Amino acid sequence: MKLIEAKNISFSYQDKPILHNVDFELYQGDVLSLVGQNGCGKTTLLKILLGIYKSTGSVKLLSKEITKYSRKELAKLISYVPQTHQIPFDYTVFDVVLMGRLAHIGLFSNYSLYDKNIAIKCLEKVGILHLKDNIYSQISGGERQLAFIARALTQESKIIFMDEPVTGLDYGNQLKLLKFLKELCVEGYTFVKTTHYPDHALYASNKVMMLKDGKVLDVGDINTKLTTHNIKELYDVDVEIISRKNGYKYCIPTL
Amino acid sequence: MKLWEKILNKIGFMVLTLILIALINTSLFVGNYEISFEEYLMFLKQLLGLESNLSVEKYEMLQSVIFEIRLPRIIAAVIIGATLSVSGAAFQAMFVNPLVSPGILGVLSGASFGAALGMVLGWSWFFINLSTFIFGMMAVLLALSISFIYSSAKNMIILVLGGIISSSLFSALLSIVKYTADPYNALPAITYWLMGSLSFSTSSMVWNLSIPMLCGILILLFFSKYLNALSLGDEEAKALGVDTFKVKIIVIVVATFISALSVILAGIIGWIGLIIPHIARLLFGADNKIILPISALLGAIFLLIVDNASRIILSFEIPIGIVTAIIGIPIFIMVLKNAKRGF
Amino acid sequence: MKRIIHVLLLLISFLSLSYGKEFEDMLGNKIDIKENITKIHASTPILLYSLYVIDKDKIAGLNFPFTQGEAQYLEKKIVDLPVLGGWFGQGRTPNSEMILQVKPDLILLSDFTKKMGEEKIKASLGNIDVPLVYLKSNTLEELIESFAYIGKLVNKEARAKELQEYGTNVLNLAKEISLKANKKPKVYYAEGKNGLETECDTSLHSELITLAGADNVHKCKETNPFGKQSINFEQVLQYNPEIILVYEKEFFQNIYKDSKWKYITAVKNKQVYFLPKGPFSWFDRPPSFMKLLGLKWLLNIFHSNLYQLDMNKEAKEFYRLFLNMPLSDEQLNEIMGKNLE
Repeated sequence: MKLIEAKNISFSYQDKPILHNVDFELYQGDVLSLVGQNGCGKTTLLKILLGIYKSTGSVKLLSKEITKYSRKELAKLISYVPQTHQIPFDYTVFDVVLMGRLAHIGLFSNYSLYDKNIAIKCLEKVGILHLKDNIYSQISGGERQLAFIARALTQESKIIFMDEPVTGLDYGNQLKLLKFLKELCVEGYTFVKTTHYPDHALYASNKVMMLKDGKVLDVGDINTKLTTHNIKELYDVDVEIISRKNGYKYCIPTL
Repeated sequence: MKLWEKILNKIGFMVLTLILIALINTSLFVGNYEISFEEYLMFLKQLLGLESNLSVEKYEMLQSVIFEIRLPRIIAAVIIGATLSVSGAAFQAMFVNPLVSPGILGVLSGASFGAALGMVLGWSWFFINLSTFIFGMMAVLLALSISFIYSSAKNMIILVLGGIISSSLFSALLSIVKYTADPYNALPAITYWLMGSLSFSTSSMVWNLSIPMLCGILILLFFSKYLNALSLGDEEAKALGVDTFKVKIIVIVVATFISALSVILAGIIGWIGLIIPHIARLLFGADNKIILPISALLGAIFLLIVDNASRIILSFEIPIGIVTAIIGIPIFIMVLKNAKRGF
Repeated sequence: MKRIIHVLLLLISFLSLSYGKEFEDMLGNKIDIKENITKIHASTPILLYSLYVIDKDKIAGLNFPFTQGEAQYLEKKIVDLPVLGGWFGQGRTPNSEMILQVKPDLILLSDFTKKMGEEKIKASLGNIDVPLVYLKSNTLEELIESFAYIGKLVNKEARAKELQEYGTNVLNLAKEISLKANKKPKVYYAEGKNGLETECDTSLHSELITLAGADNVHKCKETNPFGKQSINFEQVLQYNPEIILVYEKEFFQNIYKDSKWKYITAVKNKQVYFLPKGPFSWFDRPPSFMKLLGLKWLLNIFHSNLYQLDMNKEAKEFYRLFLNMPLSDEQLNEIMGKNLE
């Protein structure tokens, strides 16, 4: 089922053009990796698809223009795990995760027991239930990332956008996170994530979209489209893509 | 969170409410006009419909003192304390800035100007109050307009700058008004009014204005959960389903509205909007859903105690703005010292 | 020989011109002033008003503009004089350029201003090189005394004496009646729109209450010379005054309708009086020579058994003597607030 269809997206920020005529499609069950150089417009594209930025062209979510959705309706369908975490107050982890339920409660109501239970279930799922009463700013980077994912799950949206989800995580935590994404995928979630690591894309996603200078370089199945040629185009480095016995491909730089 | 903190959260609200109720009762009893404890008991007796030894005249006078003189003033103290504290807490959350107070967008400067203008032009109290309110709202409208011109209020810093510009403008206008004021009457009246006092308002004003102020406080309380999301940043809040523009505008308008009403009742009372939310956060953590109502209670208690002091200690009234500053500033310094955990 | 006489004559005329006469002010300073003073700047309102009644043509300029209410009782020529500023506690300090432009022959200052210090005073006056004459007129007694000094300065000593005599007579009358009175009524001075501002009994603002042989219920020491202390209603209830003197029209019109003031003895007995005003208050704010009429008026209110007064006649006499203006009945009624009742 086609979830998102975006056509002809162009966007400038303060007279600096960022995206040119980008087309985008997302189907249910996709794990789409968005790759490209720094500043090529990956995060901008995410925010446009989230309805946070307004661009030219059309963005349709479930065949309806995104501008026709209220914020709440939109949040029930897509959630967002941002790259940077700015939490100025000493919220507890539970407070932060519970905010995922904002899309589901009315103005005059408060979080119900039902809402709180969902938050607890999601905390458990990502494995940090024991941290629920800790102050968010005092837990480790990796744990914070997991908390944000727990929040996205609490939002009960089927589509989750993640902006460079492994930023700040140590090597072990990076791999654990990717594994977790794959598990969630089996449960029916759809992901769009930006990443700087072709390896991660190869491991965890089924589709890839490559952006260069605000334009789509190529898009499609991960195994066919993430080629040495494309990577050379994107990053100007030479790599070799190797397949291993377990079926996975790896990207190795040739120095 | 430690255990005591969890317990405090749960029962804190109840405890503070009880303290407030007890304080209100005590305040009804104390004042410059001496009522002996016996007389007070007799009065309560007669009030409940039982017999007492009080003469009709004495009973009527006590009724007048307690219900017409003291009660409206106590209600005013409670409502204004709550209003300013909740507004301050809401703004501090929205602007993610610990130094922000209800006057940040200019409502207090505008209201001061409006009141002074009315006093200099010799208007009746009704029009002075109207002027106070209108200019208070206008000052914030100006701040919003300035920020719209530059970045459609997306950027909170521009909003603060707009507030500074607006405040400065109205302060300057106030100075002009003060300069033209007759130095024997209008000018001292303005000066005194600017120092704030709960003796300015009549009981009818208190009853009429407390209802909208209470409604405003309730609205802000309902919006407190959105303030949590807002403090994470505009984009993240939007992704969580919060209509950030609507929330900001509503919070600003409502907080401004009730702050302007509080100025009508009692002139300019500073420091409460700044300090009480900090104390609330110190005791109860950072969740705005808890901080806003707690701030309301703490603010009410604080202002009531302060007002009791300013009306009873000396034979003349001490302007309440002075007392809140004298008590407030050392408390603020202590709070800053203890604010190890961010803010 | 002729030459020597010429030179001698020149010398003598020079000497008389440059030395003028010597004058001793109320602080004991000896100052040299011109023989013929044509312009004086009185730097505080009370001195300005006293100068007005003794020789208004010598006024160089005003401290602040007269209000419409005041102007109708004063000579238009004076009302239209330039504003030079002055010292009276709340702004409009002297405009040194205006003063230099107008060039008064001397400046009257109150002893209060002296506290600022010679240098600062001279600086605010634009370092103008004219004599500074200090006069005291804080109490009513001092005010009467200052008449003589002003009279001497403008060579209108007879006029000053006339006014001084009036003043001294009133003060003596007050002393006499106060002594005879066996009861001092309890008086509350109600200022402010809600009547809840007042003055301490020791304050000069409420001086007339004590001079007229009554008792100001608000007992304290003034915390600042400006006065106007705010009190709350319970305090007034505690005081329960027998007579209330009201400054503000708005309050006077509403006091009998107010539901809480009705418990006060003064209100019950309808002993609430509006403080007459025109051009200046008969009581205070601003303090002026008109307090003399106010004192008489109060003596009649506080001790009507000892002192009877045809107010109409007395007022008209006072306005004729001091302000040189005929007072009509309507004007008097308006001044005394009879149209408010």
